[in-house]
Amino acid sequence: MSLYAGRMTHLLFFAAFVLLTWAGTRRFQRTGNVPIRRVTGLDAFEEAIGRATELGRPVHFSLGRGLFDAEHGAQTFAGFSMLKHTALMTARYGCRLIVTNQSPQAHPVTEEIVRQAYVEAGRPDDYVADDVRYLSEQQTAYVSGVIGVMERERIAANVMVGYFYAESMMLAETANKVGAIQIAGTANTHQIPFFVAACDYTLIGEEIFAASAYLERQPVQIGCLVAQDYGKYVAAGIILVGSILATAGYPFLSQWIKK
Amino acid sequence: MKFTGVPILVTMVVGGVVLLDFFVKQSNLILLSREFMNWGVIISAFATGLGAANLLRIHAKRTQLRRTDWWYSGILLCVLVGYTALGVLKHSSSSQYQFVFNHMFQPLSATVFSFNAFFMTSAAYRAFRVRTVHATVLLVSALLMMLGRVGIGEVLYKDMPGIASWISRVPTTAGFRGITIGAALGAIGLSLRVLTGIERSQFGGTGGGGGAA
Repeated sequence: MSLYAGRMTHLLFFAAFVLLTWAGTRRFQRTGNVPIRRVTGLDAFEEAIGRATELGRPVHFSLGRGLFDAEHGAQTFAGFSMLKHTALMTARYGCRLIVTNQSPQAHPVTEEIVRQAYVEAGRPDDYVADDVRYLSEQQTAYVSGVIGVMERERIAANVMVGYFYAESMMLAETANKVGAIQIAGTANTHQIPFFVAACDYTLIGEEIFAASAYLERQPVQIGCLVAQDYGKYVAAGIILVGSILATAGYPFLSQWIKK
Repeated sequence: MKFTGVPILVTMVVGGVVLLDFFVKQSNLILLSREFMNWGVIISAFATGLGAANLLRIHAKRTQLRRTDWWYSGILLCVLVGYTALGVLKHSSSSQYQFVFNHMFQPLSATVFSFNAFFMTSAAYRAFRVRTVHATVLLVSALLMMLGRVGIGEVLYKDMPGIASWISRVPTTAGFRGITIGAALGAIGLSLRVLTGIERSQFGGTGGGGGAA
């Protein structure tokens, strides 16, 4: 049994992340207070769903591609977390929620999340199975379907969290056209500019992963947020020191990272 | 509250094995990890059937109850059943099957995709209205990028393509990498919570994202 070449540093960073999470959790349990940066996009859910409830129009939720593989899986899971939050709010406010799926793998999971959220909110009878819809795995077919849903149902709020490709702009612009307030988040750097340009609130990169911790404030989740923040400081430090050393002709830090 | 103990245990075992396999070179671990990943592929294939069943159920009900625009649902049902039958009876490599795909689906798909140009223009118009410092920076960067990518930019100022290239290579790449590092750390944190059963929103059960007031 041995380690794969080039993965020693990965393992060390992972172990350090676990330790930092543990330390952050302990700190939160001890002090009961760890300062967390405000995320405007997450605070805006109240406004968006409240507005939809007042207008008597539905909220639309999309996970984007909804894939489970290595590159996209974490973003899909972040989307699940946001879906649960959205479904709980719509259930409690008595607002209609429409979920459209592009991925047949994610579809049964979203059905279960929404159904369970309505049960948790004490309103199982308000759950409408037909409002959690699988449209198509083909990108353009999915977009056509969602555009149709947005136009016909006149949605008042549009929430998009997950991994998005080119559908991001088409969905965001259509929702804007029907006058919906929009909250969108992805870690796909190529689509973030589209969301920033077209949506009212944007969750950028790591913010989508921090959502459940931000909203629930459970000790281990807060510990993860602390580890994320320290991880960023460490990464920035390594980049800075590594750049200076490499420029000065001592590239040992960059060579060590490749081990 | 529903019982989520078994799914969490399965997540822990499968996720733990695949994670360990990423770091450790061990023949049995490799075999087990590949087996788990193959199961994932099989389960995904079943999910495709569930998706089609959901489409059939929703649109059959819409057609049956003659809801608003029910004929669209009727068309969808006809296409779904007809095209599946064509694929099963004639095979997906047959000329008839390919004809429908190449001469109906592809042009429609390209048409929908081309909407992007108009959507981008309208979004850019809203985003570039100079109301804040951020919007001004966005507008100036976008103008320089656009001028650097078209011939007239070079005619106006010979270094314009170089400026556009610098914006793309240096500040944009630096920003993207910062976001990527943050997102990677966030993904590790979320994965850790999923593997340890702290994040459970994917099971629809307790925990994770349940902070609604």
